[in-house]
Amino acid sequence: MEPKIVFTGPPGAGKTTAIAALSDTPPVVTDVANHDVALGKARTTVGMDFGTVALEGGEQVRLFGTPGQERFDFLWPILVKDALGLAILIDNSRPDPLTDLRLFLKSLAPTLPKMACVIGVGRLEGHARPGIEQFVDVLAAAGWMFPVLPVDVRKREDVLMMVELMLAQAEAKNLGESQ
Amino acid sequence: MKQALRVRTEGLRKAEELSISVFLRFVGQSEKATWSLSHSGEAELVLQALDAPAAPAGAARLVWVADPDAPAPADGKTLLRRPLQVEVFGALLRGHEEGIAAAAQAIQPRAAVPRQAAAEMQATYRLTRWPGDDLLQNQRQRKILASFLISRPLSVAQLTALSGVGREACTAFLRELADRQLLESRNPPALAAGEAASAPPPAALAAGGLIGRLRKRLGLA
Amino acid sequence: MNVDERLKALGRRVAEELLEKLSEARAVVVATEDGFELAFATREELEAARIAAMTSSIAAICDSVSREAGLGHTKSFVVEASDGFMVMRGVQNGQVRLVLSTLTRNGALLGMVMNAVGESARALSA
Repeated sequence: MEPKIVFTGPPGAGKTTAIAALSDTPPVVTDVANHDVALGKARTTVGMDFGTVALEGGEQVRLFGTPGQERFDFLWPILVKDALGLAILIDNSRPDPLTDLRLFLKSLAPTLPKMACVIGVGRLEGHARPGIEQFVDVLAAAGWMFPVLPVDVRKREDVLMMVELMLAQAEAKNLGESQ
Repeated sequence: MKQALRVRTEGLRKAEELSISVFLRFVGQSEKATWSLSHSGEAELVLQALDAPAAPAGAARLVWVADPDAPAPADGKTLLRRPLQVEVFGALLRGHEEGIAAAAQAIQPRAAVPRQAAAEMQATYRLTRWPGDDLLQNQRQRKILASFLISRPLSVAQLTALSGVGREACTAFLRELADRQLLESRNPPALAAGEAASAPPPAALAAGGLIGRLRKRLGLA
Repeated sequence: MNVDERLKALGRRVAEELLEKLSEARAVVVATEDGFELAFATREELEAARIAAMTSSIAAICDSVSREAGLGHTKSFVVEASDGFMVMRGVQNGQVRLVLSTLTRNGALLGMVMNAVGESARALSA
């Protein structure tokens, strides 16, 4: 099966933007008009976003973005299953970013033990609290340890850094399995 | 000039064959030789399962591979116990390069290397908490090293091979993590920089496989 | 949810009438395209909010498939399962796009359900 990388996280955290930063082709998006005033944006993803990165020899890495709202939590584990890596993007300008992270950790708990995962925290400029350390605390309290990085998904190098840290974990895991 | 040496497997399990090819990326190069996996049948070194029916190749040096509790073969040849270990395999290659015939060299490689290096080979490290920015200093390399240490315990040699970062830098980073109690270690020696053990070439391990191709494609290699 | 009361009332009426018309129908849900339940009518316990979210995901993915495959505009989509059908149909009411879903038991005639859902969709788009 072709490998995939999944971007998840609450609405407005930049999942679609992150996929667009990496994908070879314009991503397939399933965004629709948003009727949730609290979200503060015109359109939102309800199915999935999809992009691809072509490798030598015709192989492809698939990029998936999940919808962010909790009512779509049924889709999160479906899309995340068997991923090579997972990025949980957090928007620090939302009312309670730490609870946002807890929600995703809880919903994805069955898939996380084998997952190479990175937490990207966006909009830290202007919203410095909670800080990175507090996200690390939330992870530790839930029994997880993943990289937590400040990210601006509009910058390709930030998105690449997340991918790089996923790949590092995946590679170390592979090494363990092959021995 | 470096010798080009070949290793062949006979009757090993699929996973073990895969391990050997991974090990070669780790420890297949030294100052004296470059080892590769032989597919033609000709090889200077043959790893053969003790229970495999095939007869060993003539001129090649034969090393048996056996389960942990299997009786040692009567022929007195070198024996590797399962599961295969990269450190033991590395010592076997070095021993062969040196032309050391004694079986004990490969069975107990740690006895043949300096005490500090042996201890480092055994020691593994794993991150216990993602480090703060005081330690990461927003440096790409530090973030990558820390990420490698998340998934599983790694030895300094493994961390060096995976990351392509020099041994001294890896050791220094591990020392900083240990100072801040962010590191769980097993069998740790004092983390000394500048050991004699030779480091694999940078990013040797990262070069292959799907992850390597994706890295290259995204310009991360 | 930012949808006016008039539309909610219309949705409720259409859902109730459709449920009444189809004896094998278990439930009818009207969802906004971003997955909120606008209205529903049901003969049994049903988590309408979850059905609404799921139908909007399916609708969005079906739209993508239709676009990608050059099929034009998606009109309806059907889940045929061992114990019944779910027939879904997109509806445009002014600026608001909705998904009308009908969940049936085994024994329902698919053509009849699709026809009834189509009529209700026209009523809902008015």
